[in-house]
Amino acid sequence: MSNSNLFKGSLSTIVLKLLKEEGRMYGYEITQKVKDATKGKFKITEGALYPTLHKLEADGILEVEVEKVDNRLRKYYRLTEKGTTETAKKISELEEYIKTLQEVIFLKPKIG
Amino acid sequence: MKNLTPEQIKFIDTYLKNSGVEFLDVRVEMIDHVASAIEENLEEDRARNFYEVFKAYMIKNKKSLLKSANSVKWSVDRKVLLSIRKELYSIPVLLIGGGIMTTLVTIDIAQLEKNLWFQISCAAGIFTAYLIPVVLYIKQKISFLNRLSMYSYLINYLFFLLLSNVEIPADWLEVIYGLLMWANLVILLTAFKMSAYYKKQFARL
Repeated sequence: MSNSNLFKGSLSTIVLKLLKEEGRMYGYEITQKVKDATKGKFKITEGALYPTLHKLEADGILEVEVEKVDNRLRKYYRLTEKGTTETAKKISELEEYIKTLQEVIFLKPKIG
Repeated sequence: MKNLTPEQIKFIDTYLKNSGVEFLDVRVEMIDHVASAIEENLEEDRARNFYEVFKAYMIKNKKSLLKSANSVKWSVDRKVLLSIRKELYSIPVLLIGGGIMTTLVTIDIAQLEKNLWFQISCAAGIFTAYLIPVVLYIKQKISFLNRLSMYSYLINYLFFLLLSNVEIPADWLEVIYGLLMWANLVILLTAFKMSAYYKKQFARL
């Protein structure tokens, strides 16, 4: 499941949803949160997560705070004002997509 | 959970640096990721030491880590271009740029262009504007400053090609020189602003 293209397509929405709920998070925390929430079915690799976070930051959807934690620096990500609006839009789009997909996949043949 | 020591963090830093993760801003994030994963693994298996866990982690994840570090270029380019666009109409740029443009309009630039000292001053100005982001990058090793240096080089080189290879009508010279100054002013202000921003962010390292 970890390499699924379906998962890759919705990675940014998952990240945004988590940040909306948690306020601010750092990279490793996001990977662990997704792993725990999906009981290990979804595993986000570094190669997929960080480019997504950096892209969202470049687009002004996320902002960064750097703090010294446990002998090292840690980059925390949080939603910007634009990011909060964008998150609501993306979640709504994903819900709509899942609904449509369910209708197509579980299409019942018409009788008569 | 037992935290890694400063020496162990330094070990991860040096390893990533030697593996080609050159940019400090990218490496800081990678260090934290690797350190967090190692701390968790050490907690789960207390029989193993730091070096054993580090080696096992790198065998499994190095490729993905380096892929992540290398892909940063595209998002940094976007950030650089957005910052440049934001700076184009900032108050300092409009004020200084306006002053330069007024001066260019009032002087006979076509005549002045033939003057050797004017040529030397222009070349020195352009070279300085190009060099400042490069020097800031050498000092800070931040991905943003590296890409900004590349754009600075590209912009100045295009203007250089234009001015040295094309016969430009006298009326257009003011516009060309004005645009050149404006572009360099924007690059310089962006470079200093972002350098100060990153300096503040990573000063605690």
